[in-house]
Amino acid sequence: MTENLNRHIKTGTLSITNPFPGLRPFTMEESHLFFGREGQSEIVLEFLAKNHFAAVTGASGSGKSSLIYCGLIPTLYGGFIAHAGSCWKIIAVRPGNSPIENLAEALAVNEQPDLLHDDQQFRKQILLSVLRRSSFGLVDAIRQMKIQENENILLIIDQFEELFRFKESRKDSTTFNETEAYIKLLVNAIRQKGYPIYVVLTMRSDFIGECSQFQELTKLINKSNFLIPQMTRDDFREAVMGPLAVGGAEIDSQLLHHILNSIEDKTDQLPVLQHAMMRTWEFWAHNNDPAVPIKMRDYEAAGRVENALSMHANEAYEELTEDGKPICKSIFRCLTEKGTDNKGTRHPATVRYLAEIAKVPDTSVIEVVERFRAKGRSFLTPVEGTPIDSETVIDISHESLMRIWDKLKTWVDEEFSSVQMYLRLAEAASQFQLGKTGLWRPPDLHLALNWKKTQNPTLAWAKKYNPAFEKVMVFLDSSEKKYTQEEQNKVRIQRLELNRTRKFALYMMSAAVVLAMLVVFALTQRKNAIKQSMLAEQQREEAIYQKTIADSLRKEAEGKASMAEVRSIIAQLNADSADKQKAIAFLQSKVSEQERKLAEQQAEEARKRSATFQAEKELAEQTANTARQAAELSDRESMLASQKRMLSISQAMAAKALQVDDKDLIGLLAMQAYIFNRDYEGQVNQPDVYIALYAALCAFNGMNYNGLSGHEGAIRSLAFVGNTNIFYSSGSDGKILRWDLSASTKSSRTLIDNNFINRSMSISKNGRWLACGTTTTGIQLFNLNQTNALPTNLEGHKGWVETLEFTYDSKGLFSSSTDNTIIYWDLIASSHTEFLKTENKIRSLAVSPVGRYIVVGTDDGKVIRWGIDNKDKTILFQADGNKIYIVAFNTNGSKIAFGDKNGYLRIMDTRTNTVTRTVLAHTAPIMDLEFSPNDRQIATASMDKSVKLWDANNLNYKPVILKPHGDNFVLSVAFSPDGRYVLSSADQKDLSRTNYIYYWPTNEDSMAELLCSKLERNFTPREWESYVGQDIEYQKTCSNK
Amino acid sequence: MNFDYDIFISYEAVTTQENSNVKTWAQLFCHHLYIVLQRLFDEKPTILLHDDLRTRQQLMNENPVELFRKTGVFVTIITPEDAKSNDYLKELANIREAVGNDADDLQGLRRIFKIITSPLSEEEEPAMLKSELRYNFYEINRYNKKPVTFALQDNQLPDNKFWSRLVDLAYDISGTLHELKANIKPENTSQNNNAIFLAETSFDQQENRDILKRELRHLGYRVLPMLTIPGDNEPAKAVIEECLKQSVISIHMMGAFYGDFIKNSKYSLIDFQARVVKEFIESKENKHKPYQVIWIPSDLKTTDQRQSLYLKRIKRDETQERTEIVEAPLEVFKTIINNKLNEISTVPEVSTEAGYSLYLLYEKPEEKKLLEYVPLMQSRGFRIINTSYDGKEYLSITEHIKKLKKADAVIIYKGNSTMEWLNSKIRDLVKVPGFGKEKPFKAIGIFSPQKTTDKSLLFLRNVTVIWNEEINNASLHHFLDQIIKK
Repeated sequence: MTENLNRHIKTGTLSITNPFPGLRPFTMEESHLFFGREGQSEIVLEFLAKNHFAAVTGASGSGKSSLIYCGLIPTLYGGFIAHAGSCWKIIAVRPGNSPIENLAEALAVNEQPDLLHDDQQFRKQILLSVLRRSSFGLVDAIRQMKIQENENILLIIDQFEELFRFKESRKDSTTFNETEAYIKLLVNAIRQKGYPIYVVLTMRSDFIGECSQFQELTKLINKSNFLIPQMTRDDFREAVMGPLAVGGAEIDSQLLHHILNSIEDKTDQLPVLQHAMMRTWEFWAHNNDPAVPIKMRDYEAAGRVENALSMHANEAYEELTEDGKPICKSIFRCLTEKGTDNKGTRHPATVRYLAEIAKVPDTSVIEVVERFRAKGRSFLTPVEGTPIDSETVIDISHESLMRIWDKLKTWVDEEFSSVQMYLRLAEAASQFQLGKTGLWRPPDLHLALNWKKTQNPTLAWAKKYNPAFEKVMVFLDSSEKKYTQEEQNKVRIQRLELNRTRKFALYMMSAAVVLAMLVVFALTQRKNAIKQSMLAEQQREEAIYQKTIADSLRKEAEGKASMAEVRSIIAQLNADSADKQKAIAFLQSKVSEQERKLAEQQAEEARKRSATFQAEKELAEQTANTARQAAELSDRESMLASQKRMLSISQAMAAKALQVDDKDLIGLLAMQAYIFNRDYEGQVNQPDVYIALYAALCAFNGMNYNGLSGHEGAIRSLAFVGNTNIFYSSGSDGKILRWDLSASTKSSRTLIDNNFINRSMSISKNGRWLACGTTTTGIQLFNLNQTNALPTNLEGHKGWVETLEFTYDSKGLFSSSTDNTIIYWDLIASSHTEFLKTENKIRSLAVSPVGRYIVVGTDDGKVIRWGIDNKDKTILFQADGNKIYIVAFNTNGSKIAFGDKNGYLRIMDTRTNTVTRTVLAHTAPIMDLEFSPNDRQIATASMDKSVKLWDANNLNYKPVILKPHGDNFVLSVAFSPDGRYVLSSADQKDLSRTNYIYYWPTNEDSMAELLCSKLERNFTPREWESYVGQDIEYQKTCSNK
Repeated sequence: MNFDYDIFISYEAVTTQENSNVKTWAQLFCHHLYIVLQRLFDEKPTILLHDDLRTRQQLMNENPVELFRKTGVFVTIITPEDAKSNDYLKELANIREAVGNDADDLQGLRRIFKIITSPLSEEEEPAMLKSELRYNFYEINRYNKKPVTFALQDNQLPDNKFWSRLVDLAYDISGTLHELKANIKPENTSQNNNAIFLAETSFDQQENRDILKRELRHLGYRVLPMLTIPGDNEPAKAVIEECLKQSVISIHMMGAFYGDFIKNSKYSLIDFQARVVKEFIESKENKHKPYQVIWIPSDLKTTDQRQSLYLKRIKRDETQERTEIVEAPLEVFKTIINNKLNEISTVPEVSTEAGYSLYLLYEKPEEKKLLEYVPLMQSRGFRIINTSYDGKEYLSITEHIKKLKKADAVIIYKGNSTMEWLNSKIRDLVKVPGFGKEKPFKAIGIFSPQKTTDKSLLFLRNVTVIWNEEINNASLHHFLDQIIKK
C-alpha cells in the first residue's frame, strides 16, 4: 500500500477530459480537481507550520488520505509554509504488522529510489538498526539521508490505527515495546529543531482513545488534531460543481438539486458521488455537444448515485469469460471481509495469494484484475497503468463498493457464512482434540459437508482465519466416516430386519394359502347346500303346480260329469213323451244357451287376452322408448361430463399458466386452455382463460404492453371520437392527450396542458366537440375539427364541473357541477340556461340515446329522470344514502345501468322502469361503467382497484376481472366504437410509478390469434402428459408451428 | 416611556362565567401568560385584565380610553362569538381610540396582539383588528380538517403546542414593551435588508414553520410577513412583493396539503406565494433579488393529489437562478439556511478601481528579483496583487483563492523554485473556476527556465499562457500587451 501511495505521488494517472476520478482516491496530480474540502487543508497547514505535526482523524471513508494528498501536499509544494519553502521530500508509510521495519523500508526507498532491490534490502537492514538503536533513531536516519539544503521531510503515517491493531493482536512485551519505540521515534523527530522534519498521521477517530496511553503523543495530538467533519450539502455542491467548472461543463440546476437531495447521510458518499459523476460525464461527453449542460438523462443513463456503481461493476463482470467469473468471485471474496459488527472491511492481498486461493495461475488473476482497473473503472488498485506482477498487492479501491455492488454484497455474505462455518469447525475440532466434545452429526455435519463441497476451502484461504486447517479437515472427515459407518451399520441391521420380515411373510403366506383353500372348500360346500335347498324349493313349487293341475282336472272331470248327467235326463225324457220334446228343446236351448255363453265367455276371454297382449306390447314399446331415452340421456350426460372435464382442464391450465416462468410454456398453456374452452363450448371470455392469455401476451410483449403512458397523475376521463379509434384522455395533471389505437406506435399528442385538474371530459357523437370540466368552475370546449385552436371557456357554474354529456344531436351539452346545478349549453346559439338545480350533489349524468331524457345519479341515492323538453321529473330508483356514482344508457336506450357506493350494479328496463337485475359487482364504489356498442358487454371500474367485463345478458356469469392498475382506484372505462377494445384508466397514488391507460381486447379470440403468432413451438409429448393429461389425445396447439 | 399597566388583556364577557368555580379558557390563558411573562421581565409585569377593568369601571367610574392610554400593549382574545358581541366591539373601539388608527402611533410598534381560538372568516373578523399581529391558538385536525382549540383545563397542564405558541407571544410582548420603555425606534423597514420572507405553509407544517421562525428571529432577522397575507389575489401579491423587497431570502416550507384556492386565482396560497417570488426574481425591474429556498421534508407523504402534482411540478420545472430545492430533514434544512444566510452576509468584494489587476506568484527568495519590475507594471496601469510574506508562518490559502478570483491576470515567477512549486501554482490557476471565478484570466505569464509537462495544463482552455524563460523588460512588456489586447 505504501508503495502504491508513493507511486501515486510520483506517477499518478490523470484523465484528460473527465474531471471525476471515480471510485479511486484522488492522486496528488489531480489536486486541481479536488473540491469540497476547502478551508480544511488550511487548518492542517497551520498545525504543521506551528507544531511540525498534525493528526488528521475521521470516520472510516471520510476522506483523510485525500485531504492529505490533494489538499495538504499541493500547498506544501506551493510554498505556503513560508519559512519552509517549496522543497519537500515526502515519505508515506503504514505501520502494518511491523511498524519499525516498514518505516525503515520507506526510508530506504526514499533515500535512493533508483537502487536495485538487493541494495535497498541492504540499506533497509542498516536503517532498521539505526531506528532500533535509540529513541532518536528516526532523526539519525534522516540526518544520514543527507537531505539537500532547504529540503523538508514530510513523514505521512497513514492508517496510524494499525499500530494499535498490531498491538492488540500480539499481546507480548516485544510488541508493546515496538509500539512504544515507534511512537518515541516519531515524537522525538517532531520535537527536535535541528532538521526540518514534519509528521502527519491519519487515523480512524474511533482509535483516538488508544493514543492516550502514550503521554507525549497525547500532548502532540491535543495541540494539532484535526477531526474531519462530515461533508455538508455545500461541500457536496462544491464537489460536483468544482470539477465541472474546471472541465468546462455546465450542469442543469434541476439535476444538481436532485443529486444533492439524493445524497444519503453517510460518510462514504463522496466516492460514490464521484463515481456517479464520472459515469454521467462519460455519457454526456459521448452523446452531447460540450455546450449542452449535463442533464438528467445523462445522469439517469449512468444509473444515478444509487445504481451507477453497481451497474458499472456488473459491466466489468459481464465482460469476463465463463472461466473468469468464478476467479473474479474468489478474488473479491478474498479482498473483502464482513466482521461480526456487520461492517465490511478490506483485505488487500498479493496476486500470488489470490491465485493460490482461486487455484489458478497468477496470469488468470491478473487478467481479471485488469478488467476491474481498466481506464475509467478503478474498482481495484493499483490504478490502471501501474504494472502488476505476482507480488503486487491488490485492493478494492473503496469500502463503498462492498455496500453498493449487489454481486459483491452477496459474495461478502457468502464468504462470511463460509468463514463462520470454518471457525465453528475449527472450534469443534479443537474441543474434540481435548476430549470435550464428540464428532459432528447431522444436521451440523450435513451443513459442514455441503460447505466443503460448495466452498472447496484451501489451506491458503483457511490460514487467513485459523491455521488449524488440516485439523479441521481431519475432524470433518472423521465425522463423515463415523457417520457413514453408522449409516452402513444401520443399513445392515435394516437388511437383517428385512430378511427376518421376509421369512415371516413367507410363513404367513403359506398359512394364508392353506386358509384360502379351506375357505374355498367351505364356500363350495355352502354353495352345494344352497343348490340343494333351491332344488328342494323347486320341487316344492313343482308339487304345488302338479296339485293345481290335478285340481283343475278334477274340476273339469266334475264339469264333464254334470254334462253327462244332463244328457242322461234328456234321453230319459225322449223316451217318456213328445210333450216333453218342448221341455227337451227348452233344455237343449238352455244347453245351447249355456254353450253360447261359454263361447261368448271364451271370446271375451280371448278379447281380454288380446287387449292384455296389446297393453303389454305398448308397455314393452314404452319401456323400449324409455330405455332409448335413458341411453340418450346417458350419452348426453357422458358428453356433458366429458365437456365439463375438458373445461375444468382448460381452467386448470389457465391457472397453471400464471404459475410457470417459461414464456413458451405460459403461452402454450394459455393457448391450449383457450382452445379447450372454445371447442367444448365454455363461457365466452372465460375469465381464467382471458387472464392466462393476457399473462402470456405480457410474457412475450413485456408487462404493460397494452399500456399507454403520457399522464403524470390520476387519469379521470376517457372518450372516443365518433366511429374512429381515436380517443382522448384527461386527468389531474391538467393534460388532455389524443391517442390513436389503430396507429402502430401508440404515442400521444397533447391537446392542452392545464394548470389545474381536469375533472371530466366528453366528446360529442359527431366527433366535433370535446368538453372538459375543470376545478376552476369553467368548461373548456374544443372544436376538434380545428387543429391547434384554443378552447372556448364556458363559464356558468360555481363549483367544479363533475360530469358532462353532449346531446344525441351534438348541438347541446349538459353539465353538472358541485354547485348542484345542471346547465344546458346551446352550442349553436352559444347560450346557456340553468336546466335544473337539485338538493343533493349530482354524481353522474347520462343523456338517453334518442335525446328525450337526461338521467342523473345523486348523492342521496336516487336515480332521477327528467324530460329534456318538459322537465318532467320521475324518480326511477331510490336507495337512501347509497350514493349513485354512475349512470349509463345502453346503445338503444332500452336499459339503464347504474353503480353505487357499495359496489352494486343494477340494470333497469326503461319501458317498465323496473330494476331487472342487481348484482354485487365490486367491493367498493363503482366509479364508471359503459355498455359495449353491441350491448353484449358491460365494463365497470371501481375503487376496489379492478375493472370487470360482464356478459350484459347474464350477470351471473363470472366476469373477467382486470387488475393492472396496482393499488390505484380505477376511475374510467370506455369501449372503442368498433367494440374491439375497452380502455381503463386510474388514479395515481405513487407518483414515481408510470400511470398507464390500458386497452383490452373485448374478445379473447383476438388475443389468442396474436398469441399464436408469437408461439414458436408446440407442447412436447411430455409436457402434454403433465399439463394436459395422458388420456387426452395430443394435438398441436398452434397448427402452423 | 412608563405605563400604569404593561398589558391589558381583553376578552368578551360571555366567555367568563362569573358565578362559576370553573375557570374559563380566557382566564386560564391569562394565568399561563402571566407565568411566562414573569420569567421574561426583571420586574413583575403589571397586567390589567378585562374583569378588573369592569370592576374598576363599576366602582370608580373610570374612563377606559384614558386607562388604555396609560397601557403598553393589548392582548385580545377573540372567538367567532366574541366577534359579534357589541360589548366586545365597544372595548376594541376604546383600545383602538387609545392606540390610534395605525401602527405608527408609539414609535411605530405594533401594540395589539390578537389571540385567535378558532378560525375566523374575513367577514367575521372585526375590521379594526385585521391588520394586527395574529397568534393562532388552535390547530387543524389532519384527518377531518376541523379546527381544534388548544385545550385548557383547570388542574391540567396544557400540551407542548400551546406552550410554544404562548412563549412566542410572551417573547413578542416583552420585546415590544422593552422597546417602548427604552424608547427605541425600529429601523426604517423598507431600507432594512435583514428580513426573511417565510412563506405561509399548510397546517401540517405550521409547527415547523414556527420553529424556523423562532430561530431566524434569534439570529436577528425580521421574519415576514408580520401580518396575515390577504386572501385575495391582488392584495396578496402586493403584500408578498413588499415583503420580498425587504428580504434577503424567501423560504417556502412544503407540507402534505395543497390548501384552498385564494380568491380570483387558480392557485392555493402556498403555490401563489412561490409563483410571486419566482416572478419577482425573474423580473428585470427588481434589482434586489432574494434567494428562494423551497424545502420538501424528506419524509413527506402526501395523500393530496393536487399537492403531489404540485411538488412534482416544482421538482420537474427548470429551477431558475437563485432558487434551491432542498429535500432534507428539518434540522439539516435549518443548517442549510444558516449557511445560506452566512454566505449572503459575506458580500463579495467588487473592485471599482480602474485598470487590470495582476497577481504576482513567487517564492520568498525570488521576491527581490520580481519586485524590481513592479514599477514597470504599475506604470502601465496595472494594479498589483502581491504575495505577501511579511512575518507570516504560513500563507493563507483562503486569501490566495480570493486573490486568484479577483485577479485579471497572473504572473508566475519560478526563478530557482522547484518544479513542484510551479506545477502547484499552475494547478491553482486551473482550479480557480471551480471556486466560482466567473471571468477567465486574460492572460497567464509564466517566467520559468524549464517548461512543465503537468497535465493539468490541458484544462486551461480559453486562456492565453505565455512562457518566458527569463523576466526582463521586453518579455514583461510583451506579456502586459497581451493582457491589454484582450
